[in-house]
Amino acid sequence: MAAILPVGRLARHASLVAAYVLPAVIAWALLGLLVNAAPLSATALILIAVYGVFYGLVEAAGRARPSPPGSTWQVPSAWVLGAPRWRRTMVWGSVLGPGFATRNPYAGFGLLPLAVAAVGDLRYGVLLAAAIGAAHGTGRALALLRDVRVADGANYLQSMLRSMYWRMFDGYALLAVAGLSVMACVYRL
Amino acid sequence: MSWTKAFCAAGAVATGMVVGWAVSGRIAAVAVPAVLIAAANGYSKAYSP
Repeated sequence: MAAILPVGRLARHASLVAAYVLPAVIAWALLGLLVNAAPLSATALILIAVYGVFYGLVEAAGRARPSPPGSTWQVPSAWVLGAPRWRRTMVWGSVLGPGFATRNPYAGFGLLPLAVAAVGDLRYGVLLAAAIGAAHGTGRALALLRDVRVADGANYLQSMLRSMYWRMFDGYALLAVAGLSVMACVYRL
Repeated sequence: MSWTKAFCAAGAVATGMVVGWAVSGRIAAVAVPAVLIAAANGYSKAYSP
């Protein structure tokens, strides 16, 4: 009975989102601290423009290669096999929430550390990094809740199609950010 | 790359440049889309731990 009560479900969903968001905010804030401690802003802006145009064109054109930078590492099954639900959630949340360790199918993720480095101010850099972590962790947790709700093997082709659309969207977003970065370079350098 | 895609790609870069010019190259113009890309990136990944 308790399992179907909306309040229980809400609490479970909130704890799942928190398990993804909190590690993501901490990991990204640390990255913000690290990359803004050094004067990398100008270099990062130039790299954003180059990276954005290159991978933006690759993704907008629908080409599979070159693959975006990332890792193929996956959570070892031994970490979650036989573990209680709360520990599985904590492990997946800590690893998938920040998004650094596992596979990133879209190149947009690689742009995010550059955007943090481009800030060039420790306080705002950490704030932006934390916001990126919160956004990524929330998105990841909501995607998990979506997949649990509509999990269906017959949707594989639809899922592939959606992935292609997301990739194209990511490509155009990268191109737009590259344009923004060029103008930021023009005004700053 | 088809002409349509090339045109859309050029349009995306041009839009970014116009917005960047309108906000005088402020870094917030890069920061805001970065947060949106992060959210979209997290949401669009397949569930594959």
